[in-house]
Amino acid sequence: MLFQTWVFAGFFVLVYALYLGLAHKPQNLLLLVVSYVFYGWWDWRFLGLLWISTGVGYASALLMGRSSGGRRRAFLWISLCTDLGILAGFKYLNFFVGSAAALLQRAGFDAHPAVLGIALPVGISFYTFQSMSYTLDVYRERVAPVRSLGDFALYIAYFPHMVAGPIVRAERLLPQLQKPRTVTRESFESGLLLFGIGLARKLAIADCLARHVDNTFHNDLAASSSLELLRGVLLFGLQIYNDFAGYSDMARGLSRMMGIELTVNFDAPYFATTITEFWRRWHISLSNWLRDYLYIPLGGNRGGEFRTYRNLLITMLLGGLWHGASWNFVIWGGIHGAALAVHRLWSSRAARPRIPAPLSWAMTMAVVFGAWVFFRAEDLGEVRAVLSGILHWHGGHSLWWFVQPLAPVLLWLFLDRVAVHAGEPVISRWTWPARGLTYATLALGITLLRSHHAVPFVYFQF
Amino acid sequence: MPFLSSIFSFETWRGGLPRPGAAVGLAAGVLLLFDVGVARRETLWKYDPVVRFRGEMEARVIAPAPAPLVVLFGSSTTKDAVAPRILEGELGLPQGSVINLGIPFGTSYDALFLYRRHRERLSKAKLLILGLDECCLDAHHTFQAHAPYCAPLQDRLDYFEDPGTLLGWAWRTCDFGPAAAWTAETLFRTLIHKEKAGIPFAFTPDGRFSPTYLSDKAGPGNLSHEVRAKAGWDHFVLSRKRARVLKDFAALARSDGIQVLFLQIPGRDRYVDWVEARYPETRRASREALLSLHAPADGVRVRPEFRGSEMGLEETDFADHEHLRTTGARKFTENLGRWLRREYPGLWLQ
Repeated sequence: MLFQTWVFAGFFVLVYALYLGLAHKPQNLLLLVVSYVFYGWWDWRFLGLLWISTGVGYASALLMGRSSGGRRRAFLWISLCTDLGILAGFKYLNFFVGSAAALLQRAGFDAHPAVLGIALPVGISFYTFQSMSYTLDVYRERVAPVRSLGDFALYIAYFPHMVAGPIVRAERLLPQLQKPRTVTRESFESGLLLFGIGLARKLAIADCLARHVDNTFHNDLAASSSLELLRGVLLFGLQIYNDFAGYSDMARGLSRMMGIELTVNFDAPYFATTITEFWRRWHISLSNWLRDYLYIPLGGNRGGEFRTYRNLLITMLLGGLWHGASWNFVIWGGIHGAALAVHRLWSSRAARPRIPAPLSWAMTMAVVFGAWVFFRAEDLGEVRAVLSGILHWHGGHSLWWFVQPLAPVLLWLFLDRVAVHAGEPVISRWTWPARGLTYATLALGITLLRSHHAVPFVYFQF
Repeated sequence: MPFLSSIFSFETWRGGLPRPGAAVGLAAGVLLLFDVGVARRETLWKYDPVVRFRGEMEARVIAPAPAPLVVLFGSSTTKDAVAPRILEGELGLPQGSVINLGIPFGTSYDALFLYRRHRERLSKAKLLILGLDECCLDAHHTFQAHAPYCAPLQDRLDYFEDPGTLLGWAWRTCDFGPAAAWTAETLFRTLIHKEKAGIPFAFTPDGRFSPTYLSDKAGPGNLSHEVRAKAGWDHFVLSRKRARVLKDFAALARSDGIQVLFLQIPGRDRYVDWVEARYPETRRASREALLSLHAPADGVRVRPEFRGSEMGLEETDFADHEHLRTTGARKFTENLGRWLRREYPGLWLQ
């Protein structure tokens, strides 16, 4: 059930009407049941995995709260191994077996792994990370174990953000679930506006650009001109951002309408002037997760320069692998890790020349968009074809060909530079004519640019 | 307590009912103005080459044929594959007896729509052939801009998967997206590139009506077979609504006493083999759904054809995976003609 479909619209209107009419406890029960319905809509069989992750996380945290020392650590490991085991089995097994077989074949062994054909459960990376953050926080005594299984199950399964984030920490979401909530007219209107902005990002920008991107990547890459490939890569960067940020905005908007605040996940990342700033603005909930549960436990920046760079690289390599079981994602993470290390090294030099902001921005975007090639390409062969096609400059196109995707690009600029600041819409502060014209623009953008069938969110595959 | 109710407490809500306000009123006004002033302008819709193609086809193919005996419908694959002059020769029919109404991006709905629109003329035919694309029963197989352009409310309810299309009946802006894109492109090309607006259409010597920019060397795209197959079959969902269009088309034709043939245009062997190997179950389900329409006793036949070589076609006869060049069209039409002579003996003389 995708947010941008009529089925979801009907589902949410019904749920919302019921939600407003219920008291706190029945509200939570309603949210839990509809969250499972929402998830089971894709494939009810994978609900079992969700329940295992929930059950083990809940029990481990409770037992951790009643024990100390080695026993406490053991319960933490039980929970972490369960979540990592689910991830390994359903997301990475084929990748590891296939990679090992390829390695053996290169070494001259006759290795033919059976193709396991394991389907990837939607949202698996998000809810397992959410569960892990909770047990780690309980272990570190940052949050107290939750006594109510219902509240904890809702924390894991809460439908607006379960399948593609934001990954919300227990300390932020659980108190909101445990206390009665009030929906004000302002929060309803602001949530609806945020949902509308997310819908415009998805339907009018991401899905529209996807058609241009697919045209590039579905064609014979070797025969495509440099401009065609470059345009494909640039538009893919805008597509994936608006697709994912659109989902996050819709999730936050829906949640706000129900009186629950989720964390901001994006803050105009393509206007970052350094790679470090980019990661403070891109997929913020994952960046923070990786920082707090991976980078800092690895030692962070304590222990000398070499260790800091090593930790950055490991964190980003694993962050890349989190996105998908493929070497492309690992390399993508590696590029970002290396860029972060280089930026850190540069920043640490006391007598460095000042780089003008536009140049710094251009260099940052060159890295970010260059790395997107690894993200979009099916395999390393495609990466090679795209990069060599761009670097060995050839061919041209008519002016119209460049102007074609202008409408969604302008809409993106309008949203990121004018209508949204730090992840929050500022439209409501404008005069009524400005607001009216903005609403009309968003509605026209959605109706005119939308695709005739629902396009799944890119990040659902992660 | 604005939401007092005997059933629900609505204790969650505070702050009164949301008020639409002047901003929402202005937005609604702008949308209404756009809908009435832009999205309903016939001249703008005609910048969509498919809408324009159908208009030209009605004027230059249907109008000059007062009593065609064999009428072909379908998409660009049918448009490219069947040469009317060659088929007339094979069947021993006079010129103008066979007309090919294949439309680029055409769907089964276009066939139904065209037949209804020109029923008086087309019902004089003996045989209606509807060329089917390989994914014609897929729920995602988009009915293009020209379909909503003309679909009445009942058709939108019966045949269209996207509920947005239903909304488009009242709010034409929902349908207008592709036509708006074409309008923008035409204006840009005319004003900036100084190009002449609209693509010219012409007849090929063997009687096919086509946009003139297409030649034997330029197929409609250079997609790799893997990518093309994935786009068509990866998310295939068998649609009852799509099957219903075919059933209703056949029923309408049969009520006029006309034989109906659903004909699948063959694909390039290399492509078809790849697809068959990768999507055996989906292909089987799709083929079975098509064959369920086969009822020779009732005058409805289905002729599924998947591999080009079964029709004597070689790799070089294809412009891409499914569109035929002139040589391929000749071979395919001759083969079809022989089959029609055998399967419908004397039909044309009745």
